[in-house]
Amino acid sequence: MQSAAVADILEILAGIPDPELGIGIVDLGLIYDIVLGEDSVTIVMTMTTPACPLHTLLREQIEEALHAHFPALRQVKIQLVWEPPWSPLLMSPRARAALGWPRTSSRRQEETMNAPVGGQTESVLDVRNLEPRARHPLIFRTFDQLAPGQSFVLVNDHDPKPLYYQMQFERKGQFDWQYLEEGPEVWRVRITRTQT
Amino acid sequence: MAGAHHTYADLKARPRTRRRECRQRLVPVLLATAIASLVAALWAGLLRLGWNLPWPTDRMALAHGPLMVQGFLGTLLSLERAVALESCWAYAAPALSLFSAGAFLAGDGQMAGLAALAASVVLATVATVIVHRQPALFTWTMALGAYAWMAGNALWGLGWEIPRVVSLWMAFPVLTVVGERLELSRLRRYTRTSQSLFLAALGIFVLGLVGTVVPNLRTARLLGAGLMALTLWLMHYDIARRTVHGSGLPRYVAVSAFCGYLWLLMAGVLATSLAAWPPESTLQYDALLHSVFLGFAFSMIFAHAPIIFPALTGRSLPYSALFYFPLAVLEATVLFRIAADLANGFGSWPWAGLGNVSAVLLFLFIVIGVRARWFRNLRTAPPLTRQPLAAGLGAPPLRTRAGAEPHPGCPPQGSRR
Repeated sequence: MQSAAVADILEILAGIPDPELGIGIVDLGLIYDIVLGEDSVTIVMTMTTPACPLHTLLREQIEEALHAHFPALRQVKIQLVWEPPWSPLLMSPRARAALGWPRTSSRRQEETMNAPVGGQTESVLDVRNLEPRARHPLIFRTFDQLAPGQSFVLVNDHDPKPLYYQMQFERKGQFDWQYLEEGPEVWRVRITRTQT
Repeated sequence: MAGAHHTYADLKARPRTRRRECRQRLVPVLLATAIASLVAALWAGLLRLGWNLPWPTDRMALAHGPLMVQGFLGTLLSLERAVALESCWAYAAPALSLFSAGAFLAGDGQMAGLAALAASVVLATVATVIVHRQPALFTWTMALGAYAWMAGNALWGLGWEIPRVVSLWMAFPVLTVVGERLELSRLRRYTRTSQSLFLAALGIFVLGLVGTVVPNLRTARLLGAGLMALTLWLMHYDIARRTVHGSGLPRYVAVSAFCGYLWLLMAGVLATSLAAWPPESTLQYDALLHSVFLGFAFSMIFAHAPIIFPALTGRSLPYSALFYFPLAVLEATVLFRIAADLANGFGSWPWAGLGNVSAVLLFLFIVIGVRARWFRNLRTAPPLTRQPLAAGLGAPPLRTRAGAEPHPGCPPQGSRR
């Protein structure tokens, strides 16, 4: 399949809503990655919790919708992953607006909203258990949803230099990069969004 | 397949296929039997309320509670969790729960208790696995519901009368649903304040639960306070506060959920005003139980049927505005029943019960009718896949193919290669 198809696939997936919320699964941040094969496509996705049985329904809707749009597609693989766990931070600004989140939320509000009980105030994105190919899309997604001045801590099992170079290229001048821990087993980087 | 060469992908794909087979083979049988158990429970309910109906066994009227709690609710709730977990062993919980109801009907109380205990042990294990995968307040709340069911079943198996274990049975659907709603509330407003308030409400409820088991009346009344606190929390923080402004299915779910919360609030008021635990007045007992198991639980079941049915069976159940009809009948007849209870209206009981039964049967009829496309001429919603994003929630329309802006923050890998 052509790589341009990824945008089409994303658009088709965006049209599949969570039935209870009426909000698309892409906007909810459930889709982690789309990987194209020769005549197949793999959708890496999550649910908001492993206690939710809805993945069976979404899986079938995704398969049906993709096969309907791409008759030549031989196989749709759906890989359900729980790492990294879904967080409200992964929702798009549009989904947040639809759910009544404050449109221009101050940093303090955001922190409280995503704070676990008695936990840290800054969100942590631990990508160590995620397949390497799914890491960068998720990191970019998280970054793009930060308001200016907000940050998150990236946790990885190697020095994320390649990410730094990619961000230099794709988000030049928009971010601040601060190492909190540099190996040898864990790397922590605070990535701050400096301007929109 | 012996000697065949497997690729890595094949090896990885096989367990999934097996899990899918488990679901496809077991769910239809278990769900159909659970619904049969529901219908039997309704029949038994009518017998209890004084309708002179034929009955297959002398234990039929006694079996109303076990058929409803083990046969229907226990089966349905543990089936949901088994499908979520995607493990074949988890289906033992709904199967054993059904077996328990059947054994009770057949007159083997001991076997019924044992099977119910086994079912709840399996569900408690499933819930614990889920907590292990995602340790969070909401997974713990759902697990507490399963543990309460397990405790109730253990005591029931030891020969305790149903009125003494029924608070634990009530806690099962209440905590399961409340946990699910807490999870969903993360999408709206999940602050430290909201979590602390929830934890406090949960604490009062659990304390009251312990009070009902001991039993100690003063502590048992906390069950009511806890129910009220949990309900007020839901009424303030639930995602339904937002989706009720939408349209179609999300709105229907929100409306039904709020009806359910009103009954839970009623149950809280009733439980705080009890003169004894277990309740000595049949009328108060009836009002409390049916606020929870009928008003609350069935409003929630009506709410989520169009979502859960496809999730469990893989068959679609398109939303139809017709679903509001049985919901209205349910709410009106539960109100009639509770009012009759509170007004010492024994004489109205048979009619109230008949009304409750007709609401559930009407709902089943509409579900079957929507599946069988009997109402094709009436306006029904298109299948879920064709619905636009954020339908009716006042969000901007889905980006169009022409002016496609890149999706926020998800630069697809493929496009960069």
